[in-house]
Amino acid sequence: MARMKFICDTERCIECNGCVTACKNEHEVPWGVNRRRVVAINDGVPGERSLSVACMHCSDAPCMAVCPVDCFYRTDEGVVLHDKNLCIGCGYCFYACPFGAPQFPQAGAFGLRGKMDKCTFCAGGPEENGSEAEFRKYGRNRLAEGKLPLCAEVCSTKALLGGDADVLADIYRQRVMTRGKGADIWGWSTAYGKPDAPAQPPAAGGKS
Amino acid sequence: MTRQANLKRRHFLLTAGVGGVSAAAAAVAMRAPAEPPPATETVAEPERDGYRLTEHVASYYRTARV
Repeated sequence: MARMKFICDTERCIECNGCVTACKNEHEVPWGVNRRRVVAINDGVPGERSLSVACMHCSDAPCMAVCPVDCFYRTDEGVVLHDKNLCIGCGYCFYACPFGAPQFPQAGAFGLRGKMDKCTFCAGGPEENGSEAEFRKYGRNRLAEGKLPLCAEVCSTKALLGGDADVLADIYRQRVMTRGKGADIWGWSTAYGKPDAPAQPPAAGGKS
Repeated sequence: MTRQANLKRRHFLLTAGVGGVSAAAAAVAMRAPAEPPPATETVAEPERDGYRLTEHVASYYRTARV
């Protein structure tokens, strides 16, 4: 059985936020909720990287462990989903998740925290596949349509990969073998310079 | 003078009554469509038609190998 995973190739991510926009549009996610977001690492310094983050559908998910009403479940493909009919909006999963994946709409009556919302790997929820109730609560179920998460499919540089973990690992391994890693990457010296290279002497008779 | 005072009081009571009824009607109207009847709690069923290697998915994997 295939195991669904995301992986973000930081050498390719250009921080366009196309994945974030596609996700919000596909699932009609309300204002204030971002199932996916792009974070910058070492922002503004040489070696800066950006990374697209959402629920990583952990194999040993801490959100499942801490949920007091046990509203989480894992599908056969390893996708971690939750039942909004059971969720009480306590926020324990938010504190437990190392990726900040669980989101809570703030616009509920009396300012209460609403039911938790998170990335579903475009796999919907416990309701009938493709039903209106499923779409309203969890968004579109693309896996049932024979497709993959839209964020991964729209990624223009194919930095964000989503799908069968075995296939993704093979793709990523091939990339690393082709381009190398670290300073071996093609274009590295152009973009970031060579720290160990001696300073270039000024050309004689340079431009005035 | 007394008759005019009575009329004012009637107008006040009429206004208060109509306002109260319309406020109650508005509250009921706002509340009614807010929440559909709760769906029965569904047990997590393993998805029968989940991930599968369709032509669409295979095409995605091909493009990711570039």
